[in-house]
Amino acid sequence: MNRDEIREGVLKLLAKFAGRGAKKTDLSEATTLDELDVNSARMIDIVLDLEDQFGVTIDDSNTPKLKTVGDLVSLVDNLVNAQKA
Amino acid sequence: MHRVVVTGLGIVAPNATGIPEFTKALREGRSGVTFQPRMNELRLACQVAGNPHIDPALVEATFLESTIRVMNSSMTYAGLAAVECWRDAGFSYERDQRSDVDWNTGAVIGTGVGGMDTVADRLIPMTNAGEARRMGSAMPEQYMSSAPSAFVGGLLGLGGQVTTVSSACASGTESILQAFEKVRAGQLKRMLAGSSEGASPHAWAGFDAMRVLSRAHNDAPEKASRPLSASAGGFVPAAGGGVLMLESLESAQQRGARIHAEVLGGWANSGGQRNGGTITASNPEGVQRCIRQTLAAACVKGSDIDYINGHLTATMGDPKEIANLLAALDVKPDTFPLINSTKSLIGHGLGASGSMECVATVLQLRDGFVHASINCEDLHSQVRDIQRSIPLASKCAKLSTVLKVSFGFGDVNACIIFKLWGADNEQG
Repeated sequence: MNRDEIREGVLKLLAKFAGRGAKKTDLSEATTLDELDVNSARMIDIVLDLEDQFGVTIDDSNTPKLKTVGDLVSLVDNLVNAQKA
Repeated sequence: MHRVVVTGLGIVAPNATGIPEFTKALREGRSGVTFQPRMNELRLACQVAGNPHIDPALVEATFLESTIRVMNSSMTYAGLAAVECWRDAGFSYERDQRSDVDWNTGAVIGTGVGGMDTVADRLIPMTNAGEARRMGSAMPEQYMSSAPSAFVGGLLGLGGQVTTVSSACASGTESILQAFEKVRAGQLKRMLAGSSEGASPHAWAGFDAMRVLSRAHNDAPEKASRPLSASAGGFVPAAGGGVLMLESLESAQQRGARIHAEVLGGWANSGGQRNGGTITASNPEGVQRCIRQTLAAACVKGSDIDYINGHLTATMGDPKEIANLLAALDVKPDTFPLINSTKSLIGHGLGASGSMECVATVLQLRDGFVHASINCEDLHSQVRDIQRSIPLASKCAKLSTVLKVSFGFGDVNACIIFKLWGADNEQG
């Protein structure tokens, strides 16, 4: 799975968590979770869904560092590639 | 003190969702009691309930996917009823637009049991299986007692007091009463007032164990809820939610809002679990005092009441309720007001019963009718002297001053009086 595929999967997943003030267009890796109006408490749910979708295990210590779409993509990308190695 | 009027209504009931359909269901005497396969699987003696049927399209049109993920049934009922009420009162709501904080509006949304479906279906099984890590972030917000009010407050951006009243089956009426006091005192312009109760066989199982639920009509659900009947065999558990917008008359008139009714006053008390009162039964003196205090608070006499929406659950409490009403209103059986039991149609919504029934009360007052109190063709012998007051079929009735009574475990009582809003009121 390459980074583009992971990005697509992450954006699709995040759409389920977007709040009522969410930015809806021009989404990129630079888009912040604040711009998507994601309730910060829901990071836990996002992490659980990412684990299920990509077959990885995400340590809780990573959660506070996740601020942008790119942060999520990079984390998943690294974990998926680490599994391959 | 400010006059307080009802400027919005919303409901999710077992026999209908939304005010237009609920009004129609009341007029038709439509039952919302159905067979519940899950109660059968769990081998409960009672296998029927008033379980709201909600079109998923309505839920998706009202809430974002991110919101739906964290809602349980009591939050869903509270949210749908509150949004309908909010719009009915003339305010806008869009599921994908975040409004500013409304500092002039609060909410008292009660519940009796709350998020038992979350507790029974997810919290306990997952915790016991050692899977707490995978429960996600949204457990406490679903099972905390204040879940319905917190949910509604967030949906609508309410900046006034947002709280939950919990007084068992009096929760709904008492919530409306508390909101009324807040607006009457001028502390807020408006309060969303009501309650919700989730649909959970586990919540109902405790009542089944007490042998207080109907168990003789599992094969004929529409016949199961039989208030005032000689063959009443216990109440039918139910779920749902009802919300009213209570608003100061000044605010309503300034906005040009439609007024459904005026709230004249009410009272809440307890019988102290003495002199016949217990955790499950009412002290007659407490009930009568509550009704008399309600009349006094509303500045009306017992003989002014022309309709009562009873608590009337289909238990041995029904004849006692009628006796207490006769005594407290100080009227004779032949001048007893019209009375019906909305529970005959929708079952007993526990913490949601008072609010759903207050919505039914206001609709009947506003539209000039009383709905059928079904399944009491075989009237209980102790209430036969008020037979002419109990409509077996829906009928037109010019109502002016109406009383809603609710009673709950803990020997608690809550009553409220609504007045028809019409030309006389508008003049002053």
